[in-house]
Amino acid sequence: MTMDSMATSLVSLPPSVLLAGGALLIPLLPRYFRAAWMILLSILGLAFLWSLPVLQASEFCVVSATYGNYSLMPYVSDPLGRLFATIFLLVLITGSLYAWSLDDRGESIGTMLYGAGAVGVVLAGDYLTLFVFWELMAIASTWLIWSRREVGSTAVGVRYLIYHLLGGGFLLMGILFQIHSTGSIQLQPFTEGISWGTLGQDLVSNPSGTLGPLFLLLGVAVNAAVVPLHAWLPDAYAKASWTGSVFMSALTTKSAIYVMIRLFPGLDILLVAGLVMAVFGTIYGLLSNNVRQILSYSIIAQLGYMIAAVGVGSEMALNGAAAHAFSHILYKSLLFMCAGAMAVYAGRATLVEWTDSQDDSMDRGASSHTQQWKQPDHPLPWGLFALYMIGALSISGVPLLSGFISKPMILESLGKAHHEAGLLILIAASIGTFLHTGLKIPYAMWIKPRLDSASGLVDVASQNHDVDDQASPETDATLTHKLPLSQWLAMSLGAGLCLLFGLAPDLLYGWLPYPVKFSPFEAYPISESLMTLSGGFFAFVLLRKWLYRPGRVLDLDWIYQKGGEPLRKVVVDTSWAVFGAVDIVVQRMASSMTQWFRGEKGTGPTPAQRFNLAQPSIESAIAWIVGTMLVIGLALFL
Amino acid sequence: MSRSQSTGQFETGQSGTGQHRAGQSGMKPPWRHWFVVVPVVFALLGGAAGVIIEVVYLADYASHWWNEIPVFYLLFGLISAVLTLAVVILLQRVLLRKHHGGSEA
Repeated sequence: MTMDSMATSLVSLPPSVLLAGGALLIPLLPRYFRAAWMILLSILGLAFLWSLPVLQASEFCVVSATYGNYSLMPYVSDPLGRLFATIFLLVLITGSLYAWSLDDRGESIGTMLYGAGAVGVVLAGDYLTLFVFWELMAIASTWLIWSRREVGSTAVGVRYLIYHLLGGGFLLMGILFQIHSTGSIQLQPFTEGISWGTLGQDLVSNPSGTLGPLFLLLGVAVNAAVVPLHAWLPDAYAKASWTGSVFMSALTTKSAIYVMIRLFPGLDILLVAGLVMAVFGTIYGLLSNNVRQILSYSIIAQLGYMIAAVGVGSEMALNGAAAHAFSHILYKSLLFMCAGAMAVYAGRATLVEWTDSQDDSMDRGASSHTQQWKQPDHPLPWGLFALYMIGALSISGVPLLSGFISKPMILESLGKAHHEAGLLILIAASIGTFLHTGLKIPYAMWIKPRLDSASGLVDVASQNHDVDDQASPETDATLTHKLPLSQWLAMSLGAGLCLLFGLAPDLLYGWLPYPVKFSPFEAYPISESLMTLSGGFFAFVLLRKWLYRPGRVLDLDWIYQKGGEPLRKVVVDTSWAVFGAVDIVVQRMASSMTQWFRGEKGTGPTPAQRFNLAQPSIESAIAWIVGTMLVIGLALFL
Repeated sequence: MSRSQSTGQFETGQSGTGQHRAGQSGMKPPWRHWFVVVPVVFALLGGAAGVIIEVVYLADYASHWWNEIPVFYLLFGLISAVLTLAVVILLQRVLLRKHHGGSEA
């Protein structure tokens, strides 16, 4: 083999395989080499990815294989896939730097496998490859939640896993229906879409052809956190490990957005779903009192933008969805990194907390709590404020930052498609995003504590709290009040990327799947952004006093939880009853067989003697029978 | 025993009073006005810049019906934010569960 062919083979190695293979070596590496290894793998993945030719708006299959009658395309290089793989690998670099001092082999392995899954999904050219990496992503990301090792994180991880296995199940059903319908496993957009008006007729006339895209959409919608299938997102992202949530904010939902762009461009229901998500995420973000939960709801709102754009389906809208996914990963990973840093200094991840001054009124049978601002354990540094605000202003769509180069593209695509109501809803949601991420969080974490501190209005009672009193899933016992240099570097790198793409949007526009005929630096989008954000700021100044209330926000998962008890009774109790009945039947059968084997009831030689089995035990005999039955059953089935 | 005593991880400031902390922060009362003035000035400048851009460059721009309304986006920003916040403040009564004693989950 010549050097050239070796180099070609090496470059053709799918980045997902590189990451997954590299993950297996992590247990052998000493602690401080692990993050370096993860960064090196991600850089190599980027180098391999970008050394391949990409044909604009068409596919170039790098690696192919056959499975039965189907041709697999595990590594396809096209502009859309390369864009998503690039940003996934970039966030693996910044996130790994952030996790440099992490001393958890399992979490590092989980992170790399998670990254491998996400990159594998966006570079897959067929359904089977997509499904394999989709499930790898689900399992590996669950590990990142369990890595928190706090009270409640196990249960959250299980709920997350159930959601995603269910979503994976829908996806698999969709794939099977699709293969049955078309005979092909290649990823192709559903150009005709799903006709909701004639859905009933279509289900009767062409069940496979209709159920395929329906189940695929349902499976992808779970990962894209489409309301009402979203409850896993704020639940899991607020409880994952601090480093894990950085990767989770970037990978799962955005790989689902990629699949939506790929399979369902122009599907009209997605426009409605996107608008609902934008409003829902904004309102719940404003209701929440936990930093990572606010950021999680903000993800739902931003996903709403992308999904609405996919619903519009024009080239500009799809470019906008892809560009917004890219920008969103940049600033959201930065914000989640800052959230972890905030918790290090503040000693908590909540904005407002109840003090313990409880006034019990026995005669009324009620108790009242006084809402007081609890000072952070340490004042949060202004350097962190600057980095956080770059992310917060990016997500709010402030000019010269990364959010501004993608959000106006989506808005303009809606305007050009004459969805004016949708356009105004998205602008209102954008102002709401500024309210919770750009104003509510920084006011509570930086401004208000300093104002109180300077005025001598510090809550004395709350300062005397014992740290054990606030032990909760949000307070990490391993946290100290010092931020490692690597975390500062990672946040600075993230902020730098937000600025870079905000100042030079053509860098990103050159990677988009369709030619871009849009410039954000025009009078209209700049004027719109400045005026709306200014109006939103003064509304916050007027009403901020009533905005901060501690408490746990009730989401739609409350319905599942409330409905869970009756459902548990029906499903679990019925299952127990059925299993109990089966158990009795099996025991009686085993007893009868035992007696038959021993010849207690029959006459003549026992079956063991008949078949020359040497000293058969009861268990081996039953296993023998069951095994024979299984073989016969399998033979009949085949 | 507090965790600060047992592990030393939260060693500074945990046992101090609020007044003690206020002294630690090193902030003098006159400076606190900057925390209000600077953001307000930025917001005013931003809004004014937006209005000037609209007046100077977008006087004849008419892509949507609302482009006929002067400073529409400033009004829309203010009104939609007030409405959103009002809805959220009302919803707090319904959707926020009080979580007593310390941090919430």
